[in-house]
Amino acid sequence: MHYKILLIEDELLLRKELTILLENAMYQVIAPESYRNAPEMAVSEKADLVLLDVNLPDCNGFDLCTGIRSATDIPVIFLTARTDSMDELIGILKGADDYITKPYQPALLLARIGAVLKRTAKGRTNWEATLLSHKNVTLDIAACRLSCRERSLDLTKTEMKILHLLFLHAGAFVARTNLVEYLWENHIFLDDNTLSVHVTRLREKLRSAGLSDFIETKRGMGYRI
Amino acid sequence: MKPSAFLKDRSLLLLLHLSCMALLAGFLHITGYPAANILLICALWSLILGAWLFVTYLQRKKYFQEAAQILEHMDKPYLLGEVLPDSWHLEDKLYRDMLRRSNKSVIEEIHALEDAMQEYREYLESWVHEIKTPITGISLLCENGRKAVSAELSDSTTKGINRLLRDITLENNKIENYVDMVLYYARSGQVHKDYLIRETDLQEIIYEVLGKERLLLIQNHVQADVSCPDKVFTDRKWISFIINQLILNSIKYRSDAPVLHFYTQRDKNSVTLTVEDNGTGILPEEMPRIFEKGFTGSNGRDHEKATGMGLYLCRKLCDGLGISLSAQSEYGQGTKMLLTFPLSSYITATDLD
Repeated sequence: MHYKILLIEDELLLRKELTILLENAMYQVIAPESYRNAPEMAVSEKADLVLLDVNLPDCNGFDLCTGIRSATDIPVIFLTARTDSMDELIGILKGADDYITKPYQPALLLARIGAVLKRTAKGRTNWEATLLSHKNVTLDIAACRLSCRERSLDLTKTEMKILHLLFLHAGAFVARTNLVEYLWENHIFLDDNTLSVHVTRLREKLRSAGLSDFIETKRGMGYRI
Repeated sequence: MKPSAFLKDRSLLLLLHLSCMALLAGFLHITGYPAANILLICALWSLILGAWLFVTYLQRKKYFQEAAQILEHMDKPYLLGEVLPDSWHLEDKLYRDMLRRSNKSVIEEIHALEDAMQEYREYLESWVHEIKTPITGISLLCENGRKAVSAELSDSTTKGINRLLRDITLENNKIENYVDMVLYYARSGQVHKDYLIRETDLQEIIYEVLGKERLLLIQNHVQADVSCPDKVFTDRKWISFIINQLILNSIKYRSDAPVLHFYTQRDKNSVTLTVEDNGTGILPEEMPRIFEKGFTGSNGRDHEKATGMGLYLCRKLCDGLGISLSAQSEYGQGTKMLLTFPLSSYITATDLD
């Protein structure tokens, strides 16, 4: 079940790139060119969230938000280049669920969208898998545990995140830089050398569980499972 | 107003009286008037003249003292013409009128300058907001580009493109930061007009800033740990700008294996956030000047990119938000920047309950 996002943005480039970004993040995106009837569209399309630019030519995002609010209670996130506190306050008073200022960091934007959806989605099941499997090895994200046949291993948060990314790209090499960036996005702030230490320790753990060579290293390429 | 100066000012009048007195005395003497009577007339004349001068002196002195006092206590001294004490002297009236006209032109000039400045600032702000759209566009393009090519890593051109996109993102982040500095500089004079004080989770703010600067930080092999459980009341966007500046400084003056620590400490009436690095530190003799505008210090001169604006702006914004910002450093060991957020006694009381 994918969430559906209605994107109201007048800038063509931003609309296009945001759509790609959101689709990469497994959201379904509707990005109409004309947005006058955004409130009706939000209802008819059964959107789960509206991303709304404040500065629209010929109409105001705040007014659209009022319109959306009077029609439905789906969450609204404002995107804006304006950083006045007054605007932010108006945004909140108009019933927005969040207020993100340009230039937004893509990772941050996705995190905020995820947070708002998590908070507002009622009775929805989390579609993100908490169990990932590869080569008979299962990663349980919620329990922070790796299991293979009858044996199971408890993982630290860092080890779990490393494995998570490798599982998501099972079979392909994941570059060390990508791995470090992924960890930073998940609030684990470590450098390249420390990553090596963690991977070595993780390998040791896996070997003790009879899973030697589960993580493959290729010089200059990164890691693969 | 000294009596001697007053007399000097009236010297022509005195001279006139003395010559008149002399002429009258001479005339009376020729007509055979007794010398004793002439003397008496002259003495009486002098007495009247003296009394008149004395009273005039007191009056003028009082008038000018009053005016001087008004001037001293005035909020805007250039408005003196409007509030001078009343006087029936013609000269006073004329001067006052001229003063008023001259002040009026000054006031008009000030208004014109204020308007021009306001216009300038407004244009600057709108420009900053406009430039942010293309900056966002570039950042999204790079992000999507990297996602699109990172699928097939085996190809060496893909790696090249990836590096290129990462470098563009890094430069784009720099532009973003410089643009932010302009905006916050333009606003720093009137912090009070533009803040929204809310309960703020410092941990979340620091996560956001670290996330925003992650490419730069990873490139410089930075490690960081964040332990900021205490909440404070402040404006989110100003505080994230300040923390961002502090982090950028730590990166600019880093050691070989940079480590950043963020932690809060709660006291009775305040929460202190410490941003600690293990960088080059600050020379003790330069410590008192680091918050000055345009001060770059020996560190800054070694790193050509120092503008001397970062910490100056931080201090200015902190002052506006009621946060106290201070620094501790041991040269060669690292620097601690301390941000102390006040807590009102009410909040402390409810929290203790």
